[in-house]
Amino acid sequence: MTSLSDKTAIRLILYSFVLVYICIYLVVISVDPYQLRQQGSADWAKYKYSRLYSRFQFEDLKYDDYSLIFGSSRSQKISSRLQSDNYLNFHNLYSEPGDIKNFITQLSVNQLQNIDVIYFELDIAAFREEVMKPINYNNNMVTDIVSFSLPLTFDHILSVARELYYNLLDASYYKISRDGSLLMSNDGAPTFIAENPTRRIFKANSYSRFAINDIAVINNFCIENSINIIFYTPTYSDKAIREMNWDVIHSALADLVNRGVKFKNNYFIEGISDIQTDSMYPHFSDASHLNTLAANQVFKNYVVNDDGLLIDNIDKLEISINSLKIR
Amino acid sequence: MLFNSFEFILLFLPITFFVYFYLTKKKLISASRVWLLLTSLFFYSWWNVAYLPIILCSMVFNYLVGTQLGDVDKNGLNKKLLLSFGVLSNIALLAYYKYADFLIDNLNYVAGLQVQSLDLLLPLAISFFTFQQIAYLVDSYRLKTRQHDFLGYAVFVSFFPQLIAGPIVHHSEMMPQFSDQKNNFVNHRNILLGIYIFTIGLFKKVVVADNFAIWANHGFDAAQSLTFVEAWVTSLSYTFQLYYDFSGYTDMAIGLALLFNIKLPQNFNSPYQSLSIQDFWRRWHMTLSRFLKDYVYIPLGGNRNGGLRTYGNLIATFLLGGLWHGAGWMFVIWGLLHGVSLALHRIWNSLGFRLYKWAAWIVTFNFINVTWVFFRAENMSDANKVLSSMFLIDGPITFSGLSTFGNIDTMQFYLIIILVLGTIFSIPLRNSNQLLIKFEPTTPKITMIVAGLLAALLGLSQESTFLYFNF
Repeated sequence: MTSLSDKTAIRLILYSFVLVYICIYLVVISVDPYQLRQQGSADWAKYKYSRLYSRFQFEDLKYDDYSLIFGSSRSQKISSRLQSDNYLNFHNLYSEPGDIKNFITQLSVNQLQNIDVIYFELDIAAFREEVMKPINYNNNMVTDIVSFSLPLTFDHILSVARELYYNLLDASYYKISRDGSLLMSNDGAPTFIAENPTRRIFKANSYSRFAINDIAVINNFCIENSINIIFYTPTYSDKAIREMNWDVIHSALADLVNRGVKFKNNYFIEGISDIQTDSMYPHFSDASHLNTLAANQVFKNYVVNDDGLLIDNIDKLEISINSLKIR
Repeated sequence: MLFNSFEFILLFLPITFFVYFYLTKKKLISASRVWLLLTSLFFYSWWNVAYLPIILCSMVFNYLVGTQLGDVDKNGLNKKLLLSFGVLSNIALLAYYKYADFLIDNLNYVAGLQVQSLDLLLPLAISFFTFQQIAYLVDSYRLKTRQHDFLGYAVFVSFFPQLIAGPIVHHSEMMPQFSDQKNNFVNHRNILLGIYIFTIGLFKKVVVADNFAIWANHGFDAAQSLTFVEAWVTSLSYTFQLYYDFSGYTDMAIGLALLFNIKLPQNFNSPYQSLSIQDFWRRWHMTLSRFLKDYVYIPLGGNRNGGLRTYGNLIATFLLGGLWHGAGWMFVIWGLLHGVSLALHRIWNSLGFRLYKWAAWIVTFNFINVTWVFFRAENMSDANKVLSSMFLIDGPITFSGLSTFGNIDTMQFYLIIILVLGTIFSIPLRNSNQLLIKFEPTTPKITMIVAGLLAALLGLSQESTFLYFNF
């Protein structure tokens, strides 16, 4: 085999490395411009949680009125289409009250005026301790898109390859709608009632005090800016309710109530949480996630309308948590 | 700053390299040395700038003492006193930062005292730069060093490719290279070889060692509940992790130094191919072995005073070698095991016994594998448990898969692939130094370098430090 000169070999290494890297990068950024799959896992579930998507919602809020939904995977299926109203679903800022605080405190006066209501889900078990680098919503968006996918990682590339596979074969159940909510190809049908109902029970063995503090700050910010904010809890199946660590949740919620946060306790909803057919829960996709239809129905009736049980003092909290403990 | 980080590969290294050779091209040689010194100190301070005064004071002190020792006009007695003072000062520095709490803990335990621990942070690389400078003092005393200015000496100690974890270099092998006029010019051959061996090292670290680390860490974290299979997976994973991690680091160091036309000494020579424990220590961390031989074993008398004394010297040398790796009894036990096995090997040889090569390899490899368990385990209880499971002392083999590894058990297939690849690469194949010697820039090799670089850089999603940074 013919040897190259040393100088040529060095050039060849550097040029081909840069060229291949740029090619991979261009494919990645073309397939996944919003970095929906950037967070380091080929697991399908991760693509729902790209914080960068909130950049687009930040822009949307400049031009129209919306109600905002902040919550975890237990709120991600609530969509404008099924609610017949204008919503922006921020499940991409999943479990990070610090991120949400960062978002709303960067809104302009005009954007604040465009907010109808903020719906804030208190998913105590999902709040995380770690604080991620805050997004600057006034940065140039192109710069963010370019820089967020650098440096490339294997996980991101694998996720993008999977994304391509899903799109080319139209094989995914999951899509993200323009408003940020998660759509399923079988939208509304409780296909997943047969899914293992013990999955995804986060028992809440501890809670994040940073998160509680940030929620209190968000509440005060809304009061100061005359924004209607409604806090609510997720809804669980009886099975999940029996497994939760209610002492921890009680402490976290008491902390919030003591800081002036009122919320609707929807953990248990009669006719939803307790209905079983053949040992399965027909309103749930797993033990702690409502399916699309039920999630939208519960949201409309128990969060937007007044059917939810409002907790605004420690005594009410005590009674409601005790009733959950004995189920 | 780590070699396996984006800020090092994409910013620090290119800037250091281009400015250095720009200065040498303009014939600003002193400025290029100052630049190399400043960038090396910046590299060192990246972790914690509080360490900087320690290394600076150490360099100034040793330079002054070394200069005096190298003065041929000084009389013998004064020089001996000065050498003792210099060496003891270095040992005192190391002892204070590395062993003070260990001594206090043991004193408290033995004498029932309640002396407060100092809780000192171990300054990065202190074991390496202290040994390197002790060697410099002894070489100066033996008039094996030529006098150089402080700038040259500071670059020799702080040269960033070898500063953190070696190889441990001698003044006499580095200074002539820094002074050589030819090395002030860009050398494409060295750059190519440097990129080649740096890529091999980066690949070893990121793709191989860090994957073995997952299994080794899980296993040792759950040491008390390992089954037979899990215990072997754990110990072998650590054995390969340590080799690929440290030899990967060394390859990167050698590659980086080559970019600056500096040749660092070889530190590994396929150690897991060894057919005896003596052979192993000629192939593993060769520059540490060289240091221990030249500055501990031989001054103790080496093999010049009969059998028993030789065995004692060997054991003492390796006890010190064990302690050098860390202030803990597990390291002492590890050093003792190696010292005793070297003594036994000498006795074995002197009696004229020989093993078949395959049998010698199995015995040696397994001995090394077992002793790494002591090296890695948090305490004696964990080490005992891992070894009991490995050798069925706890009961018969159970086939419960790899349940202790919890969520990563879906990767059993990858584990097997990695273990097989690790074994293949480290045992029968040529090592990176042999590959370097025979390297010719053909198209397939260039393609392999590019692929290796891409694989390693894409795998850099999480930075992980090198194991030898702790020593």
